[in-house]
Amino acid sequence: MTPKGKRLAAFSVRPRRDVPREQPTHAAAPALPATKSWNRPPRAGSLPAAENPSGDPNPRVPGEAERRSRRRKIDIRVFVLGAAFAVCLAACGDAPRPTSAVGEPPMAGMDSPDEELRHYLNELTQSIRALPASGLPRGRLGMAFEANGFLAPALASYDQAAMLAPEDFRWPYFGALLAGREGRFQEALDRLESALAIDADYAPAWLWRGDWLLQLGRSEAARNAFRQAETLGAETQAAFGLALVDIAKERFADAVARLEPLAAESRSARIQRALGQAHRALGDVKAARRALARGRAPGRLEWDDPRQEQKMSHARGYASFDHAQALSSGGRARQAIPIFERLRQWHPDERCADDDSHFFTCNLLNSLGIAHARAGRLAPAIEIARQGLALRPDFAPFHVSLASHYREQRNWARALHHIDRAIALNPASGHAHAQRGRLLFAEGRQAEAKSAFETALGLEPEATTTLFYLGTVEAALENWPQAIGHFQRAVELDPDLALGHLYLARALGEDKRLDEAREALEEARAFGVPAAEINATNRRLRELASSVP
Amino acid sequence: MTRTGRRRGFARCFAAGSALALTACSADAPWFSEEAKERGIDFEHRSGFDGRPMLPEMMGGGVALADLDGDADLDLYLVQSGRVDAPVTENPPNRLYLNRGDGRFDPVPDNGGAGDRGYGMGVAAGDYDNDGDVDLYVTNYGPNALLRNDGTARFTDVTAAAGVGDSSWGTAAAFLDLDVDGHLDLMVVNYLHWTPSIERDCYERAFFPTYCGPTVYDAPAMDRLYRNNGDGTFRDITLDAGLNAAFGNGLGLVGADFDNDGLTDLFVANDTTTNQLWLNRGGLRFDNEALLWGAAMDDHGIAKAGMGVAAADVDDDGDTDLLVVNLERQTDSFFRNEGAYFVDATHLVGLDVASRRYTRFGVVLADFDNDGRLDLFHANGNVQISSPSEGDGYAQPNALFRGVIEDGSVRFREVAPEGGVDAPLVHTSRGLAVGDVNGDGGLDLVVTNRDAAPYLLMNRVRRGNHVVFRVESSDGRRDMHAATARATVGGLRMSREVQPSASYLAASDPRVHFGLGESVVVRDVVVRWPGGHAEAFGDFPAGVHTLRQGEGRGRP
Repeated sequence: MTPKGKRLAAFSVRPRRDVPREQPTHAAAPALPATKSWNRPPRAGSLPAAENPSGDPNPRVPGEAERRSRRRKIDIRVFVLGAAFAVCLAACGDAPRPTSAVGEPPMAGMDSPDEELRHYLNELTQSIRALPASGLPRGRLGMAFEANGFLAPALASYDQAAMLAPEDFRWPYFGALLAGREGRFQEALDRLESALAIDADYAPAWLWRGDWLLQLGRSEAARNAFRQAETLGAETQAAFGLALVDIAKERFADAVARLEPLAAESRSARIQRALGQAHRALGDVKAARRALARGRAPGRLEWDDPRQEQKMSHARGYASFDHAQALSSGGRARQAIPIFERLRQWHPDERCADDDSHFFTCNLLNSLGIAHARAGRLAPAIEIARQGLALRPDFAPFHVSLASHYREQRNWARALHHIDRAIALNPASGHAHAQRGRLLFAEGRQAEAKSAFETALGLEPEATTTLFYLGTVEAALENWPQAIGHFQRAVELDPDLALGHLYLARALGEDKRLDEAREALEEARAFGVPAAEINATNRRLRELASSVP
Repeated sequence: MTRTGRRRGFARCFAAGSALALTACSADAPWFSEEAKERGIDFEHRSGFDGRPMLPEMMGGGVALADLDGDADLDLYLVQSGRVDAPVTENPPNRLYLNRGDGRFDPVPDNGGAGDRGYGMGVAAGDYDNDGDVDLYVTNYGPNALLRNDGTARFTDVTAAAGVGDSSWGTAAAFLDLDVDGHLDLMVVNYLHWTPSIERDCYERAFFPTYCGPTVYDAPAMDRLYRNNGDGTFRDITLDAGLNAAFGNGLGLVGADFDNDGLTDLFVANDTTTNQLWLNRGGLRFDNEALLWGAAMDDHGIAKAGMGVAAADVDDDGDTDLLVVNLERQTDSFFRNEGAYFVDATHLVGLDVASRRYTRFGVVLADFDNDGRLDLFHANGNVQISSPSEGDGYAQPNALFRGVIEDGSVRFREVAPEGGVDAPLVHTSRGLAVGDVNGDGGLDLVVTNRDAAPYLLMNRVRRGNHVVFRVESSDGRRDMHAATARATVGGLRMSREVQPSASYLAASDPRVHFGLGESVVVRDVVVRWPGGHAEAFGDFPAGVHTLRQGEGRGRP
């Protein structure tokens, strides 16, 4: 049984180093949804005030002549920035030798062991040489650098592209985002000015502007930027930004008022954390605790930004593996499968049997199988995992995947066999022990299931799903105080665990703690447990109440 | 300048932006000079790296500065690693150096019996048996070791008898009197359940082989809390204390009274898993309140790669703030204490951009120039390489920040030349300990380096006056870990804590140090002892003094 309403946390990893554990049930932390399309063409003469240091809530909208003048100033600023960059390059001894108006394209990644990446970067560089006066190939190279982790050359490429294609919004915008990502907020704002001078109607740009201004402590200007985003259709995201401004200005009650409706409608961890911070500052510890627990999942301040999405099509090699894994775990497994398949051509399956360099290839194969399973195609998923095991029988993730696939098919015996093999290969994996517990529980082997869950909890004490299952095992064994303890801990860690509240209510009732049981049942109702379940539990509580002398 | 040096210069200019780059190129007089070799330290760390990355090789490098022979100067203990897959008997030993009194060191031929040969990580120092000398606890990848001092810097391994031989992968450790019974308890932080058999191949984005991050192994390890029984033995109370309720890939540890209730709390910095803030509820029971306090992760909900940690009253408002250092491209996390929670004020203190440049392990908040403001030192060294390079591809320069007041608020401004030294020092730095090794009133640093000699950074900056207190127990036998000394300097009320265990894998000088600037006196000195009892000691002139429990002037 899977707890309904449960949102599994997608824990942050360092993608450069990590090979994330694949779980068929992972869901990505949601970004704030778009409310209107932001890909409209720019409206002439509609540029709003970029920043209003005076705090004037109705900033004047400049005309076309002023826009041109601002563009010139911005271009000068970007030129100065570029010049300083060139001076720096020269001073540091790594300056490329310019051979055209904007110089040679930056070089990076050509010494990578990743053959596919080298090949792709080389292709892009050749296309620049074929079209030296065009901005687009340089912009593409910038996107390729960025998607593959070469940030400084990406920025340099965007700058070159912007010089050759000054009407293309993307290049200064992408440069701004890179600078912002590196924490260079003032530089990011300067670059963003150039982008907004090209297209002032792209709401995500205003949201970023608000965020960076807030980071720089310029909360009034940030407020104006978020309001501008609001007028461009990004109501939800802008409301969140405005709440952050309220928090920065220590207007916590206003922040709560803004955030509560957002929190009720959105599962964004970022919103919950902000709400928790505001409650905490107001001294409402209970509300703060609950909101902060809901905000445990990682979630950067981000929003739908369609113009950025094209970048990842330039990922190659290991970066595209990372990207495909993110797609797969984010509910877009069908999009991930072709990427994994493409990578297989560069990393033939046979290498999974190679003692020296098996890990990536085995992991690739396993990820492909998981993506198939997530896409609802269990047969190829099982086939791929078995193929992997034939190449490398001691690769534990194949066993974990097969256990999961067989569990889906309710083939408990086979599933148990593979999870036992996985545990033998890596006894320290809490996830594997928890899976074992679930299989044993499904087979009705309660005592063994309990032991497996306890082992899992010893290794992952804050795994709410494991706590929930251990509670259900204790309940099945009528160990009510123990069951209550586990359910309480589970809902403390994840207040959204709706079934956790329901089962807590039932266990409290059976333990004759009827008032607490009714309270827990109310929580379950609030979290959307189906009425039939609520009613059944209510009936049981009434029975228990009548039996109490 | 070497090619590598030019590249770093480029990266720095690039990172700082054009205008800032010009500023960064202008240099002050160096604050430190590196003098390890000429002062007698011939140690060289060995990680055992032989081509295939094995995770423990990236993490070691413990160091202790403590008065081990009772002659009132700081001796040096350096933790060696060796080879992960070799029998411990084949590993080189940890090394002990005694201070001649002037900051010059003599190696002890047999390391005074403290030459543990485990694959070493960190070290904690404290007088666990209240016999008037400083003992050592060494954490290893493998069984840890408790080394009992006989008072002359001769040590005996009493691990088994004391019951503290945790065999997990230990990293940080601290001796703290958590139940205020007069005996130092022992907290040990563990990293993860790793064995060579679960080592994996990991890559950078461009497919360069590199060390894996801890989440790859999916095996965080539980920390351990040992209660001191008062008879030379300890009892593992991890479960009774509630510390099994949460744990992660632990690397950093600091003890301080964050909620100002008189009891010492514990903060554990975890690598890529949420941090723990264990608030001491009394009776050796702890609750993890990191989430409520806002120190579990950053404002984006990201559990950063928490490594070293420092705790101090940075803003002089009477409570203890927290600084956690992280991976390259992640900012430091400066958690400003608001009394009942922390606010992530990293950008407000100027560390949001400046701290991202390198991967930081050791971290110290200390007043190096004795101007009354805490400065900041980062010991840096990467865990990933983004391109193949000659020599040590993980090496990075260290960084020094001066604490200043701007517009009424504390900020940290980077000091040039980089790292506060004349010639660039570029290694893969890890452990970092602070203390005045030559007794000249300037705080010196010891930095350990992976597969290299350590740095002994002697303080050379033009400094203000200072006062140093040894804060000791009523019988004068031991330093009162986690006691806080408060004093008024030039109209400003400051707090400094007895905090030998913090930073990364390090034990530092337990004495508290106040920079006085132009002042020549500190006024209204009050010590808050573990348990919360406060005792007034009056005024003191610049110099070195002792504050003994029970010998003050009563309650403030």
